[in-house]
Amino acid sequence: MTSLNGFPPETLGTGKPDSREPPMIEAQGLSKEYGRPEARVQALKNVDFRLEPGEFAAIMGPSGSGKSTLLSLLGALSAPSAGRVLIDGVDVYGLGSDTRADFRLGRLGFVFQQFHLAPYLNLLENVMLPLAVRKMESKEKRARALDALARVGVDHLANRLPDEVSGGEQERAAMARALVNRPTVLLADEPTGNLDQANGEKVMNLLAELAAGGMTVVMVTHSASSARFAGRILHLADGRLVADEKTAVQPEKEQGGCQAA
Amino acid sequence: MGLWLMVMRSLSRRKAKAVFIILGLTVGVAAMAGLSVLSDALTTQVNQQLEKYGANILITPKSKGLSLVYEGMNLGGFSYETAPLYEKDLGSLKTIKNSGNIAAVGPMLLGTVRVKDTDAPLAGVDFIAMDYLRPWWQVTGRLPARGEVLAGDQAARVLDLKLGDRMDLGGQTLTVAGVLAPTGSPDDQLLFADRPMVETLLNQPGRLSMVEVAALCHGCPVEEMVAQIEAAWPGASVMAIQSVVKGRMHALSLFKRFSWGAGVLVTVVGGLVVLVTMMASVRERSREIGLWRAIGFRRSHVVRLVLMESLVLSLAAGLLGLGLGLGGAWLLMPLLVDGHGGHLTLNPGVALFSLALSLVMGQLAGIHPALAAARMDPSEALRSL
Repeated sequence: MTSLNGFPPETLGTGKPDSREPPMIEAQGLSKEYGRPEARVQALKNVDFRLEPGEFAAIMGPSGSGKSTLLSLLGALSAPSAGRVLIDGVDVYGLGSDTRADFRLGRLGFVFQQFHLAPYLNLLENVMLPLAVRKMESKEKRARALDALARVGVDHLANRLPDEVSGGEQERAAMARALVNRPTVLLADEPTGNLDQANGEKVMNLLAELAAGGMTVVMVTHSASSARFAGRILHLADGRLVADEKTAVQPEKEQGGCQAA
Repeated sequence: MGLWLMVMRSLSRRKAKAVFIILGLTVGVAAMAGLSVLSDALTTQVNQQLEKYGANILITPKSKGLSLVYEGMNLGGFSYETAPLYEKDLGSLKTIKNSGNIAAVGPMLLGTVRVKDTDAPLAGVDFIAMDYLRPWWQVTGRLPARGEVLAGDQAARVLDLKLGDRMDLGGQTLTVAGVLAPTGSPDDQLLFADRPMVETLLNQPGRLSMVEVAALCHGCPVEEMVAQIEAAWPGASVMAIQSVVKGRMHALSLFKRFSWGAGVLVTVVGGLVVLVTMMASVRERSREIGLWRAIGFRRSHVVRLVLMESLVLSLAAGLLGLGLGLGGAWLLMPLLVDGHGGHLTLNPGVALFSLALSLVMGQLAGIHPALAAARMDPSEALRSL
């Protein structure tokens, strides 16, 4: 087997279970346990699903259902106790620590509920953060970062510090940071959790646009209104995937109704 | 943006912690540099003072066998000379490479004379040279002129000599011009007189029993001068007065060792301060470090970032410590050094060592926090994920 996308052949998946287009994300029997052997907590239990390129999926469920754990596993941040995560055919936990870091850098983008912008860097520098470890001309880094800021509509605030802009603008800058390396998968944890409705909708529209452009977007949310922007909703309960729902209606149309998978 | 900019911005945001870390190392480097510079200055002054303690090279006639001679005095009576010293050979001292380091030359002719029915040792010396070679002499009366003698403390008591007394020596009448206060040395036993007159009295014209040499030893190797004199004066036995030289060196080396030891100790304590502070800083910034890892920084990038921070801080501490150390030494100098003997000079080796010590301590203290940061589980560190 030849290498795919620069990653070793042994980390590639075994292939598609059917004849459909290869999935962008494939969770195979994912389980995650925490704690000491005598007091194990099973956060995820044998979760399987596939997401196609350009799909926008929301993960929903009550607190403690395993949403954040699942996002962490999909983000190559925390190894599963059992199962595999294939992203664009690459078994991310078959990669070594450095290669997995390189994979996150080049292929994944993260948006966090708390934004996690460095308070001592202005918005432009925050967006340039993922480029700090890339070999690239500083002019190009700057141009890319400005482009990402423009894409989310806050390029005019490039020289402001995070505490000099609103929460919505911080969230947009955090999205620009996630986009600056042009990832194929965007993972967002409660991206509207700290935003008012107007700013929340702007962010959700942006995520939907990105998905429409071909990026696979996975979002954890408690908000049903935010989830309606996604084309698919994965419902978790007690660590299990209990429903996989495809939404047929775009949120702008507000016609209600969902189609089960 | 690169990692250096991240480091500088991060440090500028956490000024109080950065200053605390810098001060921790600065104290050590300042102690190191200050004590070292002070010890160099004191060494210079001690050398200058010790040079006042008289002769440190002794030239005696070469002997075939063992001789029991202490500072030129025959103790057992079985020292025999095979190659006498002559006054005319004194010129050879001017031919040695380090002749410029010779401060004074004191030729001496020793013999015994009969005074008041008692045998007494008589030393013919050049009193101008003795003024330099025996700076500790305290003379009651004055140094003798021709036709006069100076009596050692014990010689004066045994021979019952007082100032102004006259005595008959080998047909000449000499007056006691001065009496030495006790010195605790063989000088107490001797009568001293002008050397040309003693040559006549002892009937040994142009001969010498020994020559004392005072070498200015700051920056000159006494042992090398000994070798040079031996080569220039083949009939002579030349030795460094080891007790003075070694004692001097030992005292200085103890002080230097104390200075370095104290400096290193304080710097190590400073390093521990850096370690603890950086560890706390890493814990405080666990989310930030988790973010770095999440967006694709390798463990090695995280290690590099933390070590780069400690490098910047320790470099600043090194430079600041060097300045403070020199300033402190300059302030302390008048308290530790008398008169105008001391002046500060910065040895480039000391400056480099102090800076290197600061950098090494900073890096050593940064390793543990850096590895702890790199080991953080990004999902744990971020929590929200």
